[in-house]
Amino acid sequence: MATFLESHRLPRLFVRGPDTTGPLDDVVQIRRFREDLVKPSGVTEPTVLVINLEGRFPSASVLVELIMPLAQAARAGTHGPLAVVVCTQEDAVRTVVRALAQTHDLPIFLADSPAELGEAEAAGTLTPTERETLEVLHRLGGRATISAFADTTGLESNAATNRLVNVLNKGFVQRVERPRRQGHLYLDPRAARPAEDPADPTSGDYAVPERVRSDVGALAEMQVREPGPLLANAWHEFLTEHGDYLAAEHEKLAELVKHQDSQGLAEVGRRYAKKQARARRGKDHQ
Amino acid sequence: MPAKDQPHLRSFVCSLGHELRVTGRCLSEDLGDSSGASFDELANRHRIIRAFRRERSSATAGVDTLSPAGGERTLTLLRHSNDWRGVTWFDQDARVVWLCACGRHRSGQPDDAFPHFRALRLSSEIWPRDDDYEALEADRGEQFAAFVVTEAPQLLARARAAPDTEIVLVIGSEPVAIVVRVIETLEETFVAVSGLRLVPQLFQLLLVALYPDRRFEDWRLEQRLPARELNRPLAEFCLSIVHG
Repeated sequence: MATFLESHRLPRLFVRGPDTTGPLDDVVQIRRFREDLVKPSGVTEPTVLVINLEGRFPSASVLVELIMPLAQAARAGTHGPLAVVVCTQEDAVRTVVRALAQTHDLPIFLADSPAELGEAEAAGTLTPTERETLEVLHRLGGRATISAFADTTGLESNAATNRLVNVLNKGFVQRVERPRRQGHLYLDPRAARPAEDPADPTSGDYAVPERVRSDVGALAEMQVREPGPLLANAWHEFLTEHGDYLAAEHEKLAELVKHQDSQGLAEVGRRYAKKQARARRGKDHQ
Repeated sequence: MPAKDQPHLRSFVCSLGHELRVTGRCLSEDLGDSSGASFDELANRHRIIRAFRRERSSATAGVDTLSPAGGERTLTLLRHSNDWRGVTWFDQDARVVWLCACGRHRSGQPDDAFPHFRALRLSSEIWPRDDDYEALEADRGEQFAAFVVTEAPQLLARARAAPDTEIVLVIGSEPVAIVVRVIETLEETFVAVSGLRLVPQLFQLLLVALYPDRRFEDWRLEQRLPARELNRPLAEFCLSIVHG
């Protein structure tokens, strides 16, 4: 089971596109591309696979070969907690993808581009209530427990559970199992974050290990969403899990304090401030 | 409470536990000043900022509200001399009094401040924006880092002078509680903070500022303070260190 901080991370986002642009009509080639997308072992944590077809014009056969098996696996969970998003600005491609989703009852999201994942359309057969459920989850930052969902919608806990489980069963929502006290977490795939962290070499946290950076981000988001007792547990977990990193960091900070390096101290103060402000304001979901 | 009223970066940090700040819109459009200007620089350049500091450091709101009253957020009037007026809003969550708008009061004139204030409120442009909050967080981080180096040792000294007594000091905008317990020749220090807002790096800086020569591994997580349970709704957590 994921640690509490890990479970608080949003789905991992992978963006992949066929090598060539322009017309795509080679079914064998596209099958090879598709087979390379997901390892046979699948994924173990909520993952969103964006198939970027921008600038590409696939034939109907290619679309079926590319999208159908992935979406079927997403619905059945055979690759683990995987969601599929197709990015295209071509009306014809969107129409075919919608038809596939509705005819075969597949969980597929459609977006204009990977940058517009947050506005992706759920292309499958969803009732108005199910669409509203997705919309509420989206408004909650793409992540909610049953209790948070019930609070927001004014529903009883059982009704909130039914609403979320319905969209989960259809494959449009992902779930992180957590102990009963914390409550399972339901995730909107449209809130996924890049798995390959594009750390900015000019930012202060470039040298910080990705795992620590992710947990600092998760902690900042929990400061907005989680009640105090759970947040306190997350702090305990952070201080325990990252002891080695914190020990090394401690020595660097001690040097700054001993040398009264006010510029270095100011940099420490600023390091996570912007990210934290964005997390608090719910802007950091892309 | 912070040790004393003091300007820091773009804030004026008040000993009552709140800060004074000017919104970016008010700075650029009403005062024609730069968003990077420090509070001190602004106070030197603008009389209304000096009035803001004088009137709102000891009270988070004025007596008179901008009429017509209503809505969840109350704007109160700030006066300086006969003709300068401002409106402020106390953001209780962030503990900031924002100077949201200011201008000259010339009754009946087209550039009178009051119609300007009301128009800004009507268009919702009067309130602080995301950029204002990002700047606030950045300044608070720097503020904590700047203050903790001097204030944490002072806090520790006060706690040592009163063993077994919880001493609380607001450093930057974060309340820090310390209890020192003396057992024969050993001294055990408990530090408790709220995890609601603090950034891990800054919490670590607090530990370093208290005991610069000790290692992170020397600190131990505690489930409670010596004389009380931790405040769980505030996500309070506590570490201790033995010093001999």
